[in-house]
Amino acid sequence: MTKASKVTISFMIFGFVFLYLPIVSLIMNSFSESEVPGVWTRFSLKWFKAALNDSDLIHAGVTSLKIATLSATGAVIMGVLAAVTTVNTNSAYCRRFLGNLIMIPAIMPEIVVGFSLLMFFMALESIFGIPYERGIITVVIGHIVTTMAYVHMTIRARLISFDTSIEEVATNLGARPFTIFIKIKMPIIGRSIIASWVLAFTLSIDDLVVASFLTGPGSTTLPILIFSNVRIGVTPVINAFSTMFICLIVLCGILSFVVVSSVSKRER
Amino acid sequence: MRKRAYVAIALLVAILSTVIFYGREKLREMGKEVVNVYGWYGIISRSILTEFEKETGIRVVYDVFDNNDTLEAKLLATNSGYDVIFPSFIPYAARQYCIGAYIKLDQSQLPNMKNLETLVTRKFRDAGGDTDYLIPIFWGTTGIVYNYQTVLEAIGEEVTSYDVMFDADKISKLARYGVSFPEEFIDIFPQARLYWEIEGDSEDPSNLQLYKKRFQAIRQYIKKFSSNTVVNDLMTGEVCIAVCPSDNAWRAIRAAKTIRKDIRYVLPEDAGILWVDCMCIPQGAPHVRNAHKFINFLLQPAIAARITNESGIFTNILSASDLYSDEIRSDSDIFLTDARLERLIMGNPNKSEKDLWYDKEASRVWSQIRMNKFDK
Repeated sequence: MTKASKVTISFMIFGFVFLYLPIVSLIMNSFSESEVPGVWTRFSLKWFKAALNDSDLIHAGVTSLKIATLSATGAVIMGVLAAVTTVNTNSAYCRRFLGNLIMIPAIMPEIVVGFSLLMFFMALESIFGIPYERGIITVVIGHIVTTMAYVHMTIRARLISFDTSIEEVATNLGARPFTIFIKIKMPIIGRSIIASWVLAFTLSIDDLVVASFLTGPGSTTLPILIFSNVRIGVTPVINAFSTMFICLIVLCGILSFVVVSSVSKRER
Repeated sequence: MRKRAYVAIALLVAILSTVIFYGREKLREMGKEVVNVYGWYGIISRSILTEFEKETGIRVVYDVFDNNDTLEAKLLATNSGYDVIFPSFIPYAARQYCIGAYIKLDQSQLPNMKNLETLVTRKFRDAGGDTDYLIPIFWGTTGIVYNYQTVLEAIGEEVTSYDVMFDADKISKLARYGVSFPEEFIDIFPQARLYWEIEGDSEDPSNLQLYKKRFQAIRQYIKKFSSNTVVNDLMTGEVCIAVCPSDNAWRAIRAAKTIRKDIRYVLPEDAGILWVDCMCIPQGAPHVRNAHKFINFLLQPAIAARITNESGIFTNILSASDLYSDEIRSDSDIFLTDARLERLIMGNPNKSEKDLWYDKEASRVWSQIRMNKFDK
């Protein structure tokens, strides 16, 4: 391995500072006693206490987590099925055309997706009477639509590089398609599935545009709450809550890393 | 074969447990009384909502919106599911009222409506507000909020009129400290019209070119157009002066005190603008009776005064002002005397087709101004 030059190292440091300094400053500020975010007075934990007592904030956080887990799971199930279909099929039309068609919601501006979904739900409601109200379910559907494309992309990339002769051998030996899917494909795309689940989860949890069109009573998500809060000046409670949220997510990240690496070690 | 059965069972269990986990809350809610409220963030505090829940046994689901457009989009999308909403009167609630978006309130369920007979309500009725449908619950003024030290140093005097915003000489001196204008034309055109004495009917489309011409002279000195971030921008020093509603100004003043900054609010005599936020029940509200109870609850003087003391927004309730905190009453530009209140001006709500067309044109002209697109 060649030694990195000082220039490359300093570029790298600059890059990481650029990425993480805003987050670090947010965390630092959540420990300040001052009423105004961004102004340091002295160390205090009072905003953490306030955040834990703020039931609206907690409710919004829980709603966001619910929506993100549900929509990530839904997007992964549908995205995997779609990827398997578009890669495996013999028809070029299906491979090209359908593959690109799935990508469209990701390319379209979120506001277009959000608004057209709202129109769609309105039409459904006037014809069939469901969904009677917009709420968590409609937001989940909206997020599945926008994140499925990313899942499809990740899984497809993994499937394309996979050697189809293994599959042919399995077929020769009498394996049925379902067995092939469970025994051969799933282990190969397993880690991509976890990665795309995390990706879909992240996209869903910080979405504001689609959610603000599709929420109904009792489903205010965390981004909507924070965005509405800006009008009256962000309070340090938001900083403290964000700090706790970041810690939670970092913890989950470490946990999933440990699990994945222990699994792959065992496989070896 | 057995393995496949295991997989199927595992999947079934997973799906069932998800449904139970997420549906549990829905099930618990069924048969329980609720009221779905959609309002601004930080106006009605949780403690007030809890008090209502204790008093009536009705659970309050309180959701927040960040601007009136979001509210309007949801409201007009057939069934929003909300029972009580808080739109701004002009132009939103006024035009939503015209297309029949609200239900007529049942006065017999609202004994506290008697508390509403105030000066602001009179002005609200004069402007065409119908208290059978819309309750003018919150009000405030639009004025100038500024960093006292910075502005004093820059122009050498205190702010007393809209000169500082509309006069090219004065605003140019403030430009490097940051000047902020509102995001929507409705929050600035009324003042501009009074200041520049733009003649004629306020709904005359030919006026719009005049606004454009006048704004062209000062556009280069405006740093940003934002209604939502004024409080933070003043705290961080991003801007030193802004046109802003009084309740946000009051928050800024209060927050600034904790970091020893001197931020002041002035309601210039040359253009005192009054605004009103309504409380109403949209068509198709699922819990109309509970909505009436909630509205009646908020119309009590003691509750109204608490809302004002916590948020700085005025509640339009008779005798609530006696219960305001000294902090609010001591600022003479925020807490107005009746004589000054009488002089405030409220815009005309638009009702006819032509007026709606004017609104569209005005907001188009305003976005051209914002984007700095002027005809040469």
